Amino acid sequence: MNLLKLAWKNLRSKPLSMLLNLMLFGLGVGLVVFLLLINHQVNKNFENNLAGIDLVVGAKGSPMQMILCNMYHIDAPTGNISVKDARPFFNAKHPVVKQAIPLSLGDSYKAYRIVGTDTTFVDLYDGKIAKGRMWRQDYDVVIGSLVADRAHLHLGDQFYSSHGLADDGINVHDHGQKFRVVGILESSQTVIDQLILCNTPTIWAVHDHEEHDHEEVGDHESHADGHDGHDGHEGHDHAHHDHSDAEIEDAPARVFNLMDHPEESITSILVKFRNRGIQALNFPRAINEQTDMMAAQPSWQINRVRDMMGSGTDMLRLLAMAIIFVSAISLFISLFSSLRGRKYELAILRVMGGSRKTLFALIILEGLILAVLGYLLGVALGHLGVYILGGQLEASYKYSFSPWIWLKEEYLILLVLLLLGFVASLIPAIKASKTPISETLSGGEGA
Amino acid sequence: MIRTSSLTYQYNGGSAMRFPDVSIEQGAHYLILGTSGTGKTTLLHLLSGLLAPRAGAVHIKDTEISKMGEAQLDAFRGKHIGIVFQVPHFIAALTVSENLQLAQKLPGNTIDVKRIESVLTQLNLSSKLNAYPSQLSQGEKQRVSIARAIINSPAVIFADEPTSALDDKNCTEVTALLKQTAADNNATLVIVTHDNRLKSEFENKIILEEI
Repeated sequence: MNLLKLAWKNLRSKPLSMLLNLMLFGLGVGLVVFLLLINHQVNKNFENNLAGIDLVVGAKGSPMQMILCNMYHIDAPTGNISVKDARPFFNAKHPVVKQAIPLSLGDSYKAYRIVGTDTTFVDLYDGKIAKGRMWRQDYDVVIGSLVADRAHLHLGDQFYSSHGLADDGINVHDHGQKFRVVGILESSQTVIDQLILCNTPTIWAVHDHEEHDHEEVGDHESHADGHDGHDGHEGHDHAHHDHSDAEIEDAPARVFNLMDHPEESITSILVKFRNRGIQALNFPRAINEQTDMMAAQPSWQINRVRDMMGSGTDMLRLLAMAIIFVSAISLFISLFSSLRGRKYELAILRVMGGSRKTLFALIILEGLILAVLGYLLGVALGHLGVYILGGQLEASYKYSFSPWIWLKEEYLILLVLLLLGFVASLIPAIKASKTPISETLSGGEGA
Repeated sequence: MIRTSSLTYQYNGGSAMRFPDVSIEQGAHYLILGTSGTGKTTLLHLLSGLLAPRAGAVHIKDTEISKMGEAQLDAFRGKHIGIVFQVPHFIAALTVSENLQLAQKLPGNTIDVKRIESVLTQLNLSSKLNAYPSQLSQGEKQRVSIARAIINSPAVIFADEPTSALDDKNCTEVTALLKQTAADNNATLVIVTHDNRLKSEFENKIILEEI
């Protein structure tokens, strides 16, 4: 029977008061922890996916939309640009551009976006082949680890794509040639985990189909979203319907040079600069002012997104801190008001050999126990919240939120809670230590 | 064993109270009698160190407790002095056994469950070991408070009106138990009371006059 045990039993003997205090602390801490976990992972996601890209060039529209679409794949494209216009970026002697990677978007499979690009795109994110190989032929696809998991795709599997990003089964290209999985990437904790990658001509080929069928010429964007179903497609016949696994290994690489197709279009170009000199600084403006294309810097746009999200999370954080503050006051009040009912017990503790320090320590311990239990409850709630809401957030952010990470800020919260628990119980503890034993135990009988 | 000399006490705003010098030998049983307002409880609190005298000295076991520091006194009281109050108070969240364990632990003794069991058996309370104070009858509560007073085998047991809240049957029982346990533990017993039922039970009496 030591003081800690006594403090715990005292608390347990008033379960309702303890419950109220724990719920308040738990709610406040839970909210803070939840926000920390989400914020941390969103930021990490943004940073992981910057991938050293200095500039994104695409069709004119919203720069933020272009960045979210082409780097994070959580928005629709702003439009397309012609290969002819894009040509200067792929000039190896360009004074500013060190590397340019073309992206062609528009299709998806089970809501996972199909990206037509070249193999350097994979290197951008340090992607490594886990199984199979890189794409060599049209309709070869290499898929991210998450796509393989969630869409249950294996090497050699074949599928039709759908238009847009929706997995509604309406816009399926259920004709022509199927995509074929030739490679699966290792998990990289970047956006390529969620992408299906192929060469650029494959995207053109899928869409050439469309244009023939629907006699829509030239405007790719008109069917970026909300496209109706496809019909009457019997005329096309493709030679390579059934690839075997053996063929995956043997297929010769298709020789392809983007520059040979000036009449085609792509969605965007990811650009890395040679250096960040004055020329590079003025480069985006020059593009925006002098061409039909738009250039946007990922870091700027991401900061704008963060600022917008930040004001929302700031409000929530303020609310959480208010709740924690109220919790501390509630703790103070319940300890303070418990003293009146406990004055005999406190006096008896002195009679039994306890000192003023014993009484002081007892009340402080009660406060600290509540704070620590409230903290533990809060941490559990915060992580549980991420676990429960993570799925929903994943759908909109294209990023999986893990409840199983532990941030060092969470230790900091424990320190804050211990401090708050101490401060809240300080005055009650001092009052307890001053309990007048003789007066209390003579029961008013006095002199 | 217990000696006082020219003990005075003054409550805030009250007049000074002078107490006659008291000298009680080891193992003796004493009754301090007086009507209300004669400062019986004050004297008992002075003797047990719950109050510090304004002047004069209190010696217990050759130690002048009126000169001790507060924390030192708390520990001394826990170890060597057992007190039974008119209205017994316990730590409500703890069982009888846990209350007694705390009484052993607080002054720095080691917890001795065997001793607790034997004391409770002595007081016919062995079935109440794991009962909570709220589950006890008035007479049982008073007996548990006696158990708490003697758990550390104190040199002195003070009792403040231990029987005034009890009926005749319980009064006789508690008085007998106090005398018996004090004798068994070789402790000095000092009872402060205005309960006339006790007068015939004790030879040694100190009578306080009205101030």
